[in-house]
Amino acid sequence: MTAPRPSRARRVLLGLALSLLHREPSRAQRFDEEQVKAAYVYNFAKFAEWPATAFTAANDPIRMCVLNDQPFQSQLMRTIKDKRIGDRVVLAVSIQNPEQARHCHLLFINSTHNVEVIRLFASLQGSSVLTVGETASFVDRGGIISFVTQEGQVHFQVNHKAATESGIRLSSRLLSVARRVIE
Amino acid sequence: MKLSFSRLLRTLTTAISIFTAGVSFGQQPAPDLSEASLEELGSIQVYSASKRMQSAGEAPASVTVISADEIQKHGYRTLADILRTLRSFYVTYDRIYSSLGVRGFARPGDFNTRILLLVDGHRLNDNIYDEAMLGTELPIDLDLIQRIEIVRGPVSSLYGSNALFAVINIMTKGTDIVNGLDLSTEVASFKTYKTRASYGRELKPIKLLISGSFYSSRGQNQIFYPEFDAPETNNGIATHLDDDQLGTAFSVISSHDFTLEALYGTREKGIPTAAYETVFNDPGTRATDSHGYADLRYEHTFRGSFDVSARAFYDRYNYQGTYIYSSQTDPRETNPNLDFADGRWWGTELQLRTSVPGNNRVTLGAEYRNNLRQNQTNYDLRPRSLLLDDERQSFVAALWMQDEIAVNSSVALNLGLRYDYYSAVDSSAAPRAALIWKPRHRTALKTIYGEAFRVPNVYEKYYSIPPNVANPSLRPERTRSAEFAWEQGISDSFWISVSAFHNSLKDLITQQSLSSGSFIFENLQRVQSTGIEFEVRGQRSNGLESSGSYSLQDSEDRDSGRALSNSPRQIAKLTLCQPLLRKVLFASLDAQYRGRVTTFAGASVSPFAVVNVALLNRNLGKHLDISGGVYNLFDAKYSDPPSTAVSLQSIKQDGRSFQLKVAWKSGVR
Repeated sequence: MTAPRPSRARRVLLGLALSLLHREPSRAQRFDEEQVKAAYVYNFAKFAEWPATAFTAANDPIRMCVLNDQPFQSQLMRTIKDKRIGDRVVLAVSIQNPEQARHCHLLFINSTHNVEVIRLFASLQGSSVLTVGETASFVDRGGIISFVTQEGQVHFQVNHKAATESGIRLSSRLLSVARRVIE
Repeated sequence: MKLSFSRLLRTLTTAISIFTAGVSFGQQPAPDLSEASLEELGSIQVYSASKRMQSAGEAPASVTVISADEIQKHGYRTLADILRTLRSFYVTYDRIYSSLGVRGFARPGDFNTRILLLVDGHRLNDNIYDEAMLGTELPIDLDLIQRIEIVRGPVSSLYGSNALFAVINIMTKGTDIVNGLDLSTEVASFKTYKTRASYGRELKPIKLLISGSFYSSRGQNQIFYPEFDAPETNNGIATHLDDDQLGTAFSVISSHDFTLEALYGTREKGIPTAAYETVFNDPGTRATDSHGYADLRYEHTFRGSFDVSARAFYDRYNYQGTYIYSSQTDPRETNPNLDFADGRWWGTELQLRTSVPGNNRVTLGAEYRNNLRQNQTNYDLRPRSLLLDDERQSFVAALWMQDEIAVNSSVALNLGLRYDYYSAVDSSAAPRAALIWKPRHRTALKTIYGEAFRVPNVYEKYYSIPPNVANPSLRPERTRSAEFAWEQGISDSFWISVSAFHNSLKDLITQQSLSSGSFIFENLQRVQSTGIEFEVRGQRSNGLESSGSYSLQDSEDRDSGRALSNSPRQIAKLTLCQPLLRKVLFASLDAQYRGRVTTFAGASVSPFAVVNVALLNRNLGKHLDISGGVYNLFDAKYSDPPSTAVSLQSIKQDGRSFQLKVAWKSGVR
């Protein structure tokens, strides 16, 4: 994050029209972090296999839930528009409290919920929810996949043990790309 | 003034046209990242935006979210304290209730009927005055609030009556926050004390939270009212009449999909202003408001794609006012007049939400509210005589739907429609549409159109104690509102928003003075407001969070052609919060400016600026938070416009005051 120069802040209302004409350099090569993360989340679902008990029918949708994060849920909704994984359509669902997570196949928890994750993992025991977090410690504390951003690039780590315990099979391709795998 | 306003509008239009031209030539199709491989995704350069700032851009309305964190850091004491820091909002206090004005609109003596107040989705406006309680009269403790969402503009398409200018939804804390014993105590100027005890526990599968608080304030020892400066009225000095007491109780029990929430608050306030022409400087004149409810809700997701929520509730609201008049028969005796309101209602609500593949989110809702009692009573004690005994009952039934459509990756459409049937006044429909266009990263353009309505309440229709005259033929008032908002990120941590709005009200229910000196509520023909708001929000790498806003508006009574009373043309706000020691010590400041206001009676109330500061030391010895605040730091002398209840030119507000607060919790954060 770059801090704005105070002088710019003061003149900003007057210089509004002008400043907007400035094109950001190298904009074509850069993406919104949320957009990349949403694309990753969709990919994780493609490379994961849930136990048969997680669905009631062969064409049940895959529910990708987002805990208390409307912008990311909207981004995810745009990313998965008209997408299918096998026979299943994919839904991006916004949930307000962790209790609703029992119905999810995948759950994205942003970094503002860090304090709650231990309790959240405990409540998810015995269910097959692929948890995706945003901090490196997320996988150490029992989460399945977490993003790590290094030098402006988004990578991910996997807790393979936690995945297996939840009955979720992750493909070897996913594991081979991960920056770190906890076995 | 007029000139600067039109120039501002012109500057804005020019800025927008330059900007949109730039976009249409510079835009390039965004590549579909979802088809990228895992390796490709790992090689993409990204930028990140602050969550809170981004969410404002996504919302289909002008929304502000205030968190528990901000409430604690800024040392806000009441909901009114919070609201007065927000763009285009202004709060006036008549030493009984706090009233909120939004976008140039506040009617004297309207009890916030055009603001809808919700606690965890439960409607808090009562069924007699429709009052949204915002000051110490709010029956819930601020420490129990997790976050407050404030939506500006008409949202009758979702909530029905009262949602004309703003909806304030208070979300309470859960057992994940209040875990174990949680205590706090406060000491403040004017002999003010507050104590709260809360306890939260999870005993699987049950979660339990209970809390109680007591607040007591002696208030100002003496207040001078120049209007009463005569030897027979104590030379205009009201002595020990500003006391304020509040008791609240709150509990939530939840298990699986069920949540049972109960709340009760009762507040008694001394009235120093000789309101309703009562005897000046008499401690007997006071008012008590009590509101309690029990609300059972059920939330469940069926087969992975249907979200269902249902609630049933019972509410009770009571008001008792004692007003001391001099006796007609014996001038040495007083004649207490007692004023009562007794409201009881129950209701039920059902909501279905489903995500339709193809990027639609559809919500359907139904609501039924039965007003079992809407009674108003008034009598004199000496001599005993019944002046009003009005008993009413009514019901409301409503259906509504909302559709959120993601048209493509940059355009979203939000449509809503609600139909209400009122047994007492007929039916009303309210539509709303919002179009959000995000032409590029960090830019959101929103166009919002909404209609809203408010049905007259039983107080406006049937209260007939002199000098009030009843008016049973009142009709619902309606508003149409159009808003254009532009949110622009200059960098990831610096955002600007500009919003232009036009509100027009038809058949506005407002109190008019008749030539006989009486007051009557009437459907005033038309009122129109046009305005523009600027806001900047920034976050610096050293942790400084800041926001500032300026709003300029013009409200006019279209029939008389005169400027609307109680309506400041200019409002400016500033809030700052600087961490001094990471996660431990915070210094905060908030400042408000309100321009000149013309009162209902035609007098003028001077502009003012007030600055409040607060210091918070968090996690002291892991369990303790200590905070202190200085309110009205520079001891500014300022006044608020009066309601029609008082015969004062203006109502003097408090000078500099202090508060110290200690909070302790058994659990570690």
